[in-house]
Amino acid sequence: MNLALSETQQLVRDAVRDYLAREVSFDRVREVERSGGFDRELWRDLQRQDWMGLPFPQDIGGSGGSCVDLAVLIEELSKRAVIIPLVETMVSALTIHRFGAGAAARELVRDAAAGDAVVTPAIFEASDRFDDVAMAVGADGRLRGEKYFVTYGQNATHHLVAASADGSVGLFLADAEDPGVKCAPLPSIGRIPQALVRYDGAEATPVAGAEAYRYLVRLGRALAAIQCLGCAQQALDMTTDYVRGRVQFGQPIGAFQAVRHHCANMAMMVEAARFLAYEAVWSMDNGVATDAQVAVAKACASRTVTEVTMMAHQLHGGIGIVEEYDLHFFSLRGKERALAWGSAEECLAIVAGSVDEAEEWLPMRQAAGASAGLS
Amino acid sequence: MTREAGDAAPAGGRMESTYRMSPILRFGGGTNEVQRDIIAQRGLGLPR
Repeated sequence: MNLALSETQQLVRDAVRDYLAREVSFDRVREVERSGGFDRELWRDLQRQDWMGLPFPQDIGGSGGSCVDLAVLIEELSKRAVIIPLVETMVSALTIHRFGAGAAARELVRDAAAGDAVVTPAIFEASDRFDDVAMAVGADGRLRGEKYFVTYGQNATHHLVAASADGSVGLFLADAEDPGVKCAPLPSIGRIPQALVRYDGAEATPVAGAEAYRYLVRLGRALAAIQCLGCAQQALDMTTDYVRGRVQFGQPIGAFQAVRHHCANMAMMVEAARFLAYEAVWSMDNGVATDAQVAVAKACASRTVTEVTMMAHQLHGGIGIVEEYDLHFFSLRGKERALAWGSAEECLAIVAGSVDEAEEWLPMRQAAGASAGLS
Repeated sequence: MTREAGDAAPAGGRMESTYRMSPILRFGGGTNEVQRDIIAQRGLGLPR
């Protein structure tokens, strides 16, 4: 199985990396954190360069790329700790594009692919579980109830609300400007805007059903694994740079075996998370992903980012806990992303629940091995 | 962990045998520590 990035994907990576190094400083990220919003300047730049259209077909204004192409972009953005609702908008719009019906759905996908709409999924209720969506759409077609941890809820133009109708969970579109949508900020460790949203008779447009909801969670989980990976990779890179340069007892500390072996362990975890996360996204693109496979990738990425950032702080010593140093961006974002779209524990429960179906996803991996590339 | 294959040995004693075999795999082909040194030096470019 060839997991090397294609030439186009390398171009995406290099272009975004150069742009971020040139334009987005960590001091700017600090300012955005303090503002409580997202980096609108970055959003406009990405919009001008047509990055939001990356995974959409050309006939709706996209550039005809894949989710793996999008993942490459997301990994680079995560390595800069930027605060923009890209994953939320892409996951919502890709789900609507695939399953959605109706004029409102089509229009929204076009707007999202052009960067004109910011869409975020609203899933969790008080129980904080993906399989416990109690909010029901009223007979009048309106939403009533509360959703927790709606990422960028207060900044979005639309919410894609999971609610039950006719006994199963479906996806409903709510306009964030609707007077029946009320957002309260929910400050969190990741310093990414989160909201507690109260829907008080907000108008809800049905866009897709239960299958779409399951796809939404899978795609969100796979891309959140990529975000964890980006944070872990950046923490590892910063640490290896640091231990090469930091001299103590007459030599760089990276020459001490106790330090080297920690770095090697971090590299092994990052490598495993990388392959599983990209494989999960590739499988989404190719229609062969299973719940268990994506859960394996997210569980690994969640554990990796938590352990790698922790060890990065340890190897940095005192400087590693200073707010002016940039390492904490990746531990805090990483911790938040490790929990987002299903924690390691939730994902492992999914894997455990499907061990007797292991046959279902193992042959798929063999089949995937026959065809090359991440294209 | 019964040694002899028989009714009392799960999987016909294969559990016991693989368990005894496993330490060698931590050394064969270079110890785990040697592998970590290689990762640090060749992969991450750390000084020796």
